[in-house]
Amino acid sequence: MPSNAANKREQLRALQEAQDRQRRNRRLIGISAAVIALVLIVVFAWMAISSMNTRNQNAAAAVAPNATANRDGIIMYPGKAKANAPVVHVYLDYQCPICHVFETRLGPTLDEMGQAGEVQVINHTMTFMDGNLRNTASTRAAIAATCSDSQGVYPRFNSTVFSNQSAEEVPGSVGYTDDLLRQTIPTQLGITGQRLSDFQACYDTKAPQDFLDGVNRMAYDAQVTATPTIKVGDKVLSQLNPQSTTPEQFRQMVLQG
Amino acid sequence: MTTRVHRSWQDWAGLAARLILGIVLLVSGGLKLGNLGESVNAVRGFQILPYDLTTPVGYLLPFGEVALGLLLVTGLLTRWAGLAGALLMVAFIIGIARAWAMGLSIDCGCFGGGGPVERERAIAQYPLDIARDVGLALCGLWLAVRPRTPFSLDAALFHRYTLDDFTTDRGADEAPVDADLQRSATHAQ
Repeated sequence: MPSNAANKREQLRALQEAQDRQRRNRRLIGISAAVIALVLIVVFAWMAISSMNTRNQNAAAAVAPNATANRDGIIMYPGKAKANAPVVHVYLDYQCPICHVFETRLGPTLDEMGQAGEVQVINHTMTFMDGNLRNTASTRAAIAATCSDSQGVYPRFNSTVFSNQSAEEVPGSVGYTDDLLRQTIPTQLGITGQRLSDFQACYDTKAPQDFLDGVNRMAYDAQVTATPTIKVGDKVLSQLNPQSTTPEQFRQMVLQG
Repeated sequence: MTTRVHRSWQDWAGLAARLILGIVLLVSGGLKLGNLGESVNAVRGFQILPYDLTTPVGYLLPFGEVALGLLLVTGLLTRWAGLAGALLMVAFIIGIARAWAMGLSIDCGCFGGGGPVERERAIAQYPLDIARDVGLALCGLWLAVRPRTPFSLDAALFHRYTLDDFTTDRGADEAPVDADLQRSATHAQ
């Protein structure tokens, strides 16, 4: 019957169109997916490679002369500690606000104890805050501080950096400037002339980078992932509250281990 | 020419699963893409991987999440995307449960200064986090088992068109269209 034949033709045509459309769509989606995947892979590869380029291959001669034997930190007052003095490990990040609070409120007490030889103080500088704040200030401050060890002023450099921490830390802001770290602070501490040139060469070539990578890695292996973390020997001072613990309480916590 | 397709509650459940899991993954991955350093820190906070693996995994995770999220939201390769999403959630659940058992604070960052109280508060979050991830894993599992969902690229791209789709004289029998979709959709997985 003619109407049925006409119907049939129409249906066949509709079928053909639908199949053509589907073929076109498959191709379109296939190509789009491939392009997106390619873009993601390229962006990922670019980011991975550019992060590897920051490793500096320059010879790191005499970096951190007062580092510990296994290079996981820097000894604050080398040679002062009495025999069998407890070892206090301070894990810190220069952009960590509570580390600043700790340094301000309890740092002097720890310094006294370290200089008197009651304890041995070891600083472990971590740099993960760079990731959280999207800058490089933690790393650069740590590099500057480590370079200051070669000039024999590490403890003062350490506390001076913290006293320059900005009250508000904005993600994406520069944090500590190069000028502050390589010029202002060392000059303030009496590093001038040839010593300043040596210090700045150390800073500009990022000589301590490998050392710092090791410090971060060993902090991770010691299961420290947040700062400030204070350990006496192997034990974390878990009751310590940098904002409320008094210097006297802190002293007791440290001596009792 | 549109065809009337009968949808069951399972179809809608599948769509919900696809969109919930897909959007969560897209947002989670998308936010991290802007700051890969933070993503690496987050991986380190779990203290579960060797140090050298934390960097590549920290970088890969956001890209993987975005890719999976896109697949799920558009309904492409639904069975595999659902399975991958479920496995990812299981990995998170294991990480959080382990941290809970060990009394760890999954935080690679600055303590807010609240001392031990803050750690307790962080640990109290773990059961909530685990419950959330279990729910998301179930979404993925549902899709792995039953990938057919409405409004998906899978259905549009892999439906085998036949004359039946265009015959208007249908009567009460609509089953062939359904069977077609099902056959071609499962065939395509």
